[in-house]
Amino acid sequence: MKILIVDDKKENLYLLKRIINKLGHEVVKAENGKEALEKLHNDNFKMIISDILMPVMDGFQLCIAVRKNNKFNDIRFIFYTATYLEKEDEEFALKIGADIFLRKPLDPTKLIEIIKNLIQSEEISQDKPSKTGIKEDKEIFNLYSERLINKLEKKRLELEKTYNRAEFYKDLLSHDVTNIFQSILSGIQLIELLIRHPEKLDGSIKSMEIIKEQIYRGTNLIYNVRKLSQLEEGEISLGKVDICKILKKSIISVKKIDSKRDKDIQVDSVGKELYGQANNLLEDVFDNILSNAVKHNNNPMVEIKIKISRVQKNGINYLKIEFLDNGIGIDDIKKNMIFIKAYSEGISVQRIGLGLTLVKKIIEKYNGKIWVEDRVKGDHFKGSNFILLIPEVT
Amino acid sequence: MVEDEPSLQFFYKKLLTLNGFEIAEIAKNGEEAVSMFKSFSEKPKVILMDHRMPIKNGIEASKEILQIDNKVKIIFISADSSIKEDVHSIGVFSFKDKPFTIEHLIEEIKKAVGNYSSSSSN
Repeated sequence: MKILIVDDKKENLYLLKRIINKLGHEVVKAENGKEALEKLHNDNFKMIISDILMPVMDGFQLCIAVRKNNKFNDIRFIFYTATYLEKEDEEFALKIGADIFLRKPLDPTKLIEIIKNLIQSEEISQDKPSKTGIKEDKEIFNLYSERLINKLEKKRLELEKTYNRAEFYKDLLSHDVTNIFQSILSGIQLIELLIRHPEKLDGSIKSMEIIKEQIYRGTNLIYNVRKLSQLEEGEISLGKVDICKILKKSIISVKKIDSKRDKDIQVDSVGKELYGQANNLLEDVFDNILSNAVKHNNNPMVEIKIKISRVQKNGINYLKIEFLDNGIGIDDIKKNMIFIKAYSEGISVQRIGLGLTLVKKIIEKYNGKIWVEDRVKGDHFKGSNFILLIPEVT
Repeated sequence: MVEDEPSLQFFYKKLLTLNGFEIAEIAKNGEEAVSMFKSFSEKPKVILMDHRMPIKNGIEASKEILQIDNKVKIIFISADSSIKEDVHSIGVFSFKDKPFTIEHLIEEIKKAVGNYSSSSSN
């Protein structure tokens, strides 16, 4: 079965696609109602799952267009919204022909169940309910829709931003910080127990090491949260930054991590004096990427190769900085997830964590790009290649 | 024991072993837990289940495990109390809020073991 999913947020589309793929159905994505309609005309869909508030053409308009076209009579229509949450919105959605109205966030298992049930009811029912179209005056709807969009569009970014931030920090507190507390509490209890058994000194020493590590982890979390909120709150000033100088500083500090392990860090650069449009936070970016390459590496010798070259994309000159490591690598599913926190969708990427969320936010402020590939294409076990593009300044 | 955090794996294991319990196996995500559970010839009496884990979360894993054997006692461990209702509705034995002391966990395990019936549903 083919399902069309419509949402203006790429991360929502990605997560929804993953959920539906689990059910074994084919998924096609569209980023607004207009794009969805175009795809509907070119293909044969059985179901549409659509967001409501989207640019160009919103979900309500899409639903009305679908229900007006006899060709699409058999398509099941689900609304899945985070902004139109009121009872009246639901009533309106059902009035214009939607089958189900769902509010975000919804546990993935619940969503799967709802989709499954709708598909089953479709298969069982021989006498499908016919969608008769909208009887109401089009003009009334247009006014209603216009009023809603006008009212909500202004608040949309602001509200979503606030909601996401609140969720994000709530998540940090409820998961990451509690885990740190749990570790420290359990560690202390273990030491209390082992104190009565001097022969088991090893266990106590390891407990203390873990407790220390958890405290550093907590401190680091606080540092990253502070930087993140600074980035989110306001504009940051950018200037001409000496890339090689900052990189050199980060290499020196990463060599101090896990000092007993051998590290071979080599730089292969197109030049010695390279300047990017950035600021002092670039050091955090390099520190994070390099320290991950050391921490997520099981080899006795950590090998990191840093390649700096020049590339041009859409008429903009970038410095391309690649960090190739021989670490444990990142599988394809996680490659798309490591830069975002997605706890509320039930997917935890905490092992690599908040550091990379910060890195991505910083690079985006520079109008740059960041992504990750396999060091050896197709074999993620051979390590990763973190690639940065930073606008060059000459 | 199903837990993705290495430090907690270490502490739970040590603390429970020192208190006379035997850890059958440690799974680092829900998927691993389900396949481990299927492979046990003698099923463990109690499962300590974390929620937020990669690949498969605790709720999904618990559902699958309870389908295989609805007599196994799952003690669900999470800092996210908003999922408490959902967790209870799938039929786990109990829900433990983090952070907790080992005494409380042991008490919970003892309650679970006391209620355990050795007959398997399938």
